[in-house]
Amino acid sequence: MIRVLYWKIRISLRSVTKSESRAFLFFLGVLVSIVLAVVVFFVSRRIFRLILEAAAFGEVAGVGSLWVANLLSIGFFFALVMSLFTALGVAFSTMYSSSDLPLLFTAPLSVREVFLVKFAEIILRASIPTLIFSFPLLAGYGAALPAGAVFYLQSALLTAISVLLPAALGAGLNLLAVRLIPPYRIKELGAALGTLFGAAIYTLMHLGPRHLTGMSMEQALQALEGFRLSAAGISPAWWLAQAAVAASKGDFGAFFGWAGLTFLVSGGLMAFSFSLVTEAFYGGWVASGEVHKKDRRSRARERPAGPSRPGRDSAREGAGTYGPSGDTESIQGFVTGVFLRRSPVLALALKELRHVSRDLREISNGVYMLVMMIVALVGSARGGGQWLKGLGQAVPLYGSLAATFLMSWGLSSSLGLGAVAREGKNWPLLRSTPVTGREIVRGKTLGIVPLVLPVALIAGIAFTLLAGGTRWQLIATLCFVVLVVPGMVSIEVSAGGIAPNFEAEDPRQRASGWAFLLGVLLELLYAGLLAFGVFLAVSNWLRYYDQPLAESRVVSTALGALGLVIVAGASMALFTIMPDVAGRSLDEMEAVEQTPGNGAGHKGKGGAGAGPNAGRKS
Amino acid sequence: MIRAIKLTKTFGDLKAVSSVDLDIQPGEIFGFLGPNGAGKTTTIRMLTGLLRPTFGKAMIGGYDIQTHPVEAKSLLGYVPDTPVLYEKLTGREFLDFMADLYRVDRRRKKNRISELLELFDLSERGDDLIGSYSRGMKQKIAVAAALVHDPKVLILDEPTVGLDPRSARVLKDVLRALAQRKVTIFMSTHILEIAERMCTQVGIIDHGKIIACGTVPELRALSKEASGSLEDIFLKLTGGVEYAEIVRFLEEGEEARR
Ligand SMILES: Nc1ncnc2c1ncn2[C@@H]1O[C@H](COP(=O)(O)OP(=O)(O)OP(=O)(O)O)[C@@H](O)[C@H]1O
Ligand SMILES: [Mg+2]
Repeated sequence: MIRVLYWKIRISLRSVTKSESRAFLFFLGVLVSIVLAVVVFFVSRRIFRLILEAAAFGEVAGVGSLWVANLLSIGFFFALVMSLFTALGVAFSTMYSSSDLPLLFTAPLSVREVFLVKFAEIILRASIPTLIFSFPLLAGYGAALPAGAVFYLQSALLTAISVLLPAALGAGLNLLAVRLIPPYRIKELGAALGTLFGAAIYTLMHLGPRHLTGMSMEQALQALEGFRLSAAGISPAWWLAQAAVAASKGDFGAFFGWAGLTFLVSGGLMAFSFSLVTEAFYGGWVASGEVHKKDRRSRARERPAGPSRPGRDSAREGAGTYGPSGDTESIQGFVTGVFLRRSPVLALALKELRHVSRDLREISNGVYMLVMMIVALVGSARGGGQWLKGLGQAVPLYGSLAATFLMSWGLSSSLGLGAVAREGKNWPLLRSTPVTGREIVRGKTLGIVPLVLPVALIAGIAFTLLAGGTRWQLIATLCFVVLVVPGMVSIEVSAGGIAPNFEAEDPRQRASGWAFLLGVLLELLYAGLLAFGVFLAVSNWLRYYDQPLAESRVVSTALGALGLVIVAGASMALFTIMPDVAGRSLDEMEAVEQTPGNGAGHKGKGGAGAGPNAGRKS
Repeated sequence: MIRAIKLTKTFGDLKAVSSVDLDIQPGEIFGFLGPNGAGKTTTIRMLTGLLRPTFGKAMIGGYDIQTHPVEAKSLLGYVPDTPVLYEKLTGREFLDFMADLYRVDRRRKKNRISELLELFDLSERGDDLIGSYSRGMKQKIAVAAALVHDPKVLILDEPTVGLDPRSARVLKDVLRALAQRKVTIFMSTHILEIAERMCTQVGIIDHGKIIACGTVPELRALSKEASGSLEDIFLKLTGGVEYAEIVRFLEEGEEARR
């Protein structure tokens, strides 16, 4: 078992060092973590110092330690929640979607041992947030006191214990889920829930501070008091905080009491999961990779039962209907040829539509993006309200156009950037067919537009109504959406097609950072062009301003028309040009990537005489 | 129909395929043999335009696959070595999709898809998602997809892997019938019995080089194995099995058990 873990760690390190860019990202991640930890440490030290000083002058002794406990409890709560999410995600990916499961299950390891391996993996990975957060928090507290060396040892112990709980909970919840939810659905469901949780957290983090900034110190402290009430007693965060406070006072009995309580509860949870393991195994863990059958009513019109036809005339059948389609010569044939032959582009579009709409992961990703956009928009609308007022009557229109653009952009980017790489391992098969890269990109764009358009239209309606727009403004917004979305989607699909990552399992990793940046840049240019076009059209036709741009009615109408042409033209141009560029780059690429690190062992020099073993032994 | 001219591919330092020449006539069934890692899949990927040769050319039906990819690929049906397919499509939708990519016209397409599903015994599961298929079913649907547009050249990378005896038989019969209709067939396989019984020509590749090419009797002459089976020829040409090593390996196992 230990060996299995050893190999798992080696393999995950290998995937980091696989390419330079990955190693760089990893390095960056480590650096950011360290910086974060240091920041947490200093902030925590500062805050605790302030509190301790304030408490020294306080009327009632003991208030200081209450505040300290509250703050620590909040900190632990935050860390626990973070680790829980990490643990849930990790548990989910290591226990269900991991490709080594069949291997481990067939190895001479008991189900429980496999579980322990997985559990260790979860702990390792879920401990990252605690390392960045909990420990620096405690250390900051210790430095503020200042505390002795024993305190830091105790803090380390507490931090370690605090990882156990979320890990056990995450593992247990996953095992429970597999009992309750059909295994073939759990992967998709997990991904969907994960992204929704992420969206919720993002919402909280974005909206929360807005409420907090208006608070006075007193109010903040009152809020802390309130938190204590809800957190006390049953909350492990509170226990951990108590343990930390006890440690700072040198009260070993209390420290071990609280820490032990947390440890016991984690142990209990762990034992609970452990007892579930065998159950879960037969209940579906082993088969969690299954895919559901498409539920079709057409099962009713299955082929009538009867002797199948083993190989009967198979040769003739296989070849029987071949032959040139001579009938295309006739007019009728020509007509059907032109109108009924579905083009590859349309076929690709249809396939894309089906693929995305049948994959919960894709959908949840899109929803996540939408939630983030809504939050960001609502948040900034609150702050930016005043500023916008200066623009006069056109505000509802401009505001709703901009908001709709942003929303649609978010969704297009979530679905479009990874569209080419969504082919994944099917890419070689697709490239063996006579479709050009351009057709592929265009097909994918066409497939994604119908997914984005309804949402964009709804967003357009909603934003116009929210901004108090008129009927005309509503119509203008909807026209804008229809005109603009195709261009927007082509930018995203094409940008993603320039550097696709076909290996990515996670939809979000299908496009490289460069592709993302390129997409952002192009969309911004596009937005600028659109803004100019809209401005021309709106200001000349709807005459929202006291001073029209041109006095003459003819000139002003023409300018308005020019605006419209710019808007429509930009979209059309992007829709034609972008797939061309991206398609050409796809055609340049080889359909099978070279795996680096090859050719080190044998150089393929051994010819016929050398025999197969000659080169392979090394 | 299939021509390779000094086809070469290097991965870093590794010469995966070196200077392979092939010329396969219409109606021929060419069996491509070789040990694991010999370069079969790499050659096939160059023939199908999935990899760009480091040197040399691959031609399908007279078109260079690199300079005229669309023309060449229209003639081509390809079955990849691992049947990874669109898991979120049903079998029928997948065939439909592939037919559209090859611009098969709609009226013919429908019949063709039903026939192929019937032929490979997949009609019942045609409306299930491919993700729910067994390995052999995936293999069969991949073969069906390669046939949907009536290809002139069929390139298959180990097509019989995972097939049940009946499906393997159907596939062999279909391939023979196609060859009679002058379709050119190129397949790699590890099943020497198939190669011996079906193929009109056999090429053996080892360490990226073609070490023998011809009909089975020709190869027999080449290896001076007067009555040998293709297996004997293959083992002799590719360096054989080192029996001593196998014996030592087994003995070590024995010792460990004691
Ligand atoms: N994408 C790649 N990147 C780097 N090296 C590769 C790549 N594909 C193949 N190779 C190397 O090229 C050589 C030939 O591989 P190839 O897949 O063509 O063998 P094969 O004859 O098909 O073997 P098998 O019988 O196992 O399918 C091998 O040494 C392999 O390691
Ligand atoms: Mg191969």
